[in-house]
Amino acid sequence: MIPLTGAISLNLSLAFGILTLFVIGFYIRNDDFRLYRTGQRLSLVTSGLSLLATGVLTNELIAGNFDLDYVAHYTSNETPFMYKITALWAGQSGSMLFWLAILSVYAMVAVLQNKDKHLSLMPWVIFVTTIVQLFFLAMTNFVTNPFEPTNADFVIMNGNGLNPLLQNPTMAIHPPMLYLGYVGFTIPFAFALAALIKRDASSLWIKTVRRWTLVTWLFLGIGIILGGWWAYLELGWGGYWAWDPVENASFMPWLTGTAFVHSIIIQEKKNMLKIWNMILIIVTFTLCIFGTFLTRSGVMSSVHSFTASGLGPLFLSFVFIIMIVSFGLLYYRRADFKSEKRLESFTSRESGFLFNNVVFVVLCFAVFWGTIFPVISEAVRGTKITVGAPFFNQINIPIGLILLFLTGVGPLLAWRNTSKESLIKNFTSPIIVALLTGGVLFALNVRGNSLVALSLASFVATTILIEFWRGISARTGKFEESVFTAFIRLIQKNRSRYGGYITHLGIVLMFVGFSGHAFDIENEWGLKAGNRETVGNYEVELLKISQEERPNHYAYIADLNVYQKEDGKFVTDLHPEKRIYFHRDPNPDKRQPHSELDIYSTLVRDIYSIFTGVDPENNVGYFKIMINPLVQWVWIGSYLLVIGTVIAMWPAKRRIV
Amino acid sequence: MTWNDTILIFIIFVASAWYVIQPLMKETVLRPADEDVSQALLRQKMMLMDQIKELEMDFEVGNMDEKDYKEQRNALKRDISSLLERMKSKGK
Repeated sequence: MIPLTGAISLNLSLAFGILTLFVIGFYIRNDDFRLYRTGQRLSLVTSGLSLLATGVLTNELIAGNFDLDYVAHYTSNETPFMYKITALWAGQSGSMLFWLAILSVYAMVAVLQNKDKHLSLMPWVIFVTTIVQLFFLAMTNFVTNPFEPTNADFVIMNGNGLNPLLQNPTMAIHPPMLYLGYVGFTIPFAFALAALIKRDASSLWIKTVRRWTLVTWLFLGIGIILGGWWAYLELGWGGYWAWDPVENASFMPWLTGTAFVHSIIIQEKKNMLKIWNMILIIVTFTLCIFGTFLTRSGVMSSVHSFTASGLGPLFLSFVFIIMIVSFGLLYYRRADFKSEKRLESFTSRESGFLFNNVVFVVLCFAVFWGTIFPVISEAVRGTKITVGAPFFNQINIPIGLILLFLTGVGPLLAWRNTSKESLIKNFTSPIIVALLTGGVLFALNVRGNSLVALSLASFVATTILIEFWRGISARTGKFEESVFTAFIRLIQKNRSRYGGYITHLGIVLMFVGFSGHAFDIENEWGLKAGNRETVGNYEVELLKISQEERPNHYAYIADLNVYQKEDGKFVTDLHPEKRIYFHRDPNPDKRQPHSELDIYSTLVRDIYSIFTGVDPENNVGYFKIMINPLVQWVWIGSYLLVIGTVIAMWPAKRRIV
Repeated sequence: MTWNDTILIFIIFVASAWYVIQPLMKETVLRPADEDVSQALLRQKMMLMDQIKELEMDFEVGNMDEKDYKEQRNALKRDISSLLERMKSKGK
C-alpha cells in the first residue's frame, strides 16, 4: 500500500506545482492578495508532497521492500541500517528524488521566512523555484521514477545490495552536503531573476540572499572536502583529488559561488558590480544543474550513453533554457542594472575583489573546458580525447597560486584607494617573511610549484596574522582588555571580516597540504609473514594475515609493523584489510573485492597502507605503502574554512535604529 | 489499488486542497506593508554607517594613513547627509 502513496504523492506534487504557477501568475496579473496567499500555500503543499514521497521511499529502503525496483537494486538484507538510508541517493531515480526533497525544504524555508516580506520579489521567487521543482518532478514522475515496481515474474527474496565503496560513513554525509550546496543556489538564483523581472536594481535581493548564499556555499565546500576525504580514505590511490569529471562538476559552481560571495560585498557596500553579480549567480546555478547532468546523464562515459539515458537530453535542454531565459532577461534589463559608481583606483579593495573574481572565473573556465573536452572531441571527431590530471595541474596550479596571492593582498588594500605609503607599510613585513621562507625552502632543496606555494602561503598567513595583531593591539590600547579578551571581542564585533580571515587562513593551510603532494613516495611488494621491505625512511614488516567473516563481507586482515629505517625504532602498527563483499553469493562474478586502508597520520606525513591482494594458498599478501607528506594540513585547513565561514555568517545582534 | 490506498490518498488530497483554498474562502486578506521608499533609504543609511565603522576600524589598525582616512570619511559623511536630506523630504 505505502509505495503507491509515494508514487501518487509525486503525481499530486506535480499537479499542485503546476497549479502554483497558474495561481501566482494570476496574482501577478490581478494583484488580488488572496491569490498570493493561495500561491504560497500551494508552494508549501507541492514541497510537502515531494517530501512525503521521499519519506515513503526511505521507509521502503529501510523495510527492504524488494517489490520496488530501486530498493532491490541498491539494498539487500545484509545492508547495514545506515546504508539502507543512504541508498536513497545511491541510484539515479533516488538521487533525483533527493534533489527534489532538498529543494522542497529550501522552498518551504524561503516561503515561510519571507511570508510577509519582500512582497514585490517573492511571487517571482516562488514562480522560479516552482519551475525548478517542476523539472525534477517531471523527471521523477515520467523519466526515472523511484517507485517503479520490480520487473520480475517471481518474488525477489534479496536485493543486489549497496556498492561497497559507498558503504563508508563519509559517503553517508558527502552527497547530502553536496546536494545541499547544489540545490541551495536555486534560492539566490530565484531572487536574482525576481530582481531582474521587477527591475529592482537596489541591493535588497543581495542583502536577502547573502546569508543564504554563504550557507549554501559552505555546504558545497564541505561536500567537496568530504568527497576528497572519502577518496583518500576509501579509493586507495593515495590522493584526494583526481580532477575527475564528477569532482569537477562540484568544483565549478563552488568557484563561481566563491566569486559571488566576494563580489556581493562590493554591491552591498559600494552599489557596484550589479550586472556582474547577476552573471555570477546565473552561471553558478546553471553549473549546479550542469553538474547534476554530468554526474547523472552518463555523458562522461560516452556521448552515446547520454542520448540513450533519456535523462541527459532533458537536463541539457533545461540548462540551455535557464541560460537563454536568464541571460536574455539580463540583456533586456542591462540599462537598469548599470552601476552608478566606477572603480576609483587600481590599488583599492574593490579592485582586489574584482581581480579575484576574474581569476575565479578563469579557473572555472579552465576546469570546465578540461571536463567537457573529451565529450566534445567524441561528438565532433568520433574519438574520445581524455584530458588527464597533468592538463588540469598545468593550467590550474598557476591560476590557483595567483588566487592565493590575491587572498593575501585583498585585506591589506583600503576601500576606494590605498596610498603608496600604506602599501609600503602594509606589504613590507609579509614580503620579507615570504622571501625568507622561500630562501629557507630553497636551501632545503624544495623547488617548483611547492616552493612558490609555500612562500605565498607564508605571505598570506603573515598578512592575516598582522591583521589580527593590529586589531588586538587597537583593542588592548583602547579598552584595556587582555590579549585573549581582545581577540574574542575583535571577532565578535567584526564577524564578517575576521570570519573571512579565518576562512582565508584555512585556504592557506590547505595549500600547504597540497604542496606536500610533490614529495609523495610509494612502494609495492608481496610479503610473507616475517618479511620486511623499505619505503622512504621506513621499514614495513608483515606479522600475520588473519581472516574473519562479518555480516556483509569476508575480510583478510593484515598486521603490519612500521619501523624507522635508520635506528629500527617502532613507529606504528597498521591493519589494512582485503574484503570480499557478497561473499556468500554462489556466482563468483557477483563477489566484490575491496581494499580497506589503514593510515597512520601525523602533521608531517601520513603512512598510507593498502592491502592490494592476497594469495591464501601461499599465504602471501600484496601491499602498497605510500608516504604522503603534509596531507593532514588539508583537513586542518578545511576545519578552519568551515569555522571561519560559520563565524562570518553568524547573525549579528540586531541594532535599534 | 486497495481500499486502504484509496482512502489514504483521498485524505492527503482533501487535506491539501482544504489547506490551499482557505485564503480564497475569505472576502479579503490583509496585505502586510512591504518595504517602502523610506525603509529603503534607512537601509542605505545603515549600510553607510557600517562603512564608516569599517573605515574607522581600518584606520585604527593602521591599514590606512590619516589623509586617506579623513578623505574617505568625509566622502561617506557627505553621502549620509544627502541621504538624510532625502529621508527628510520623504518624511514631509
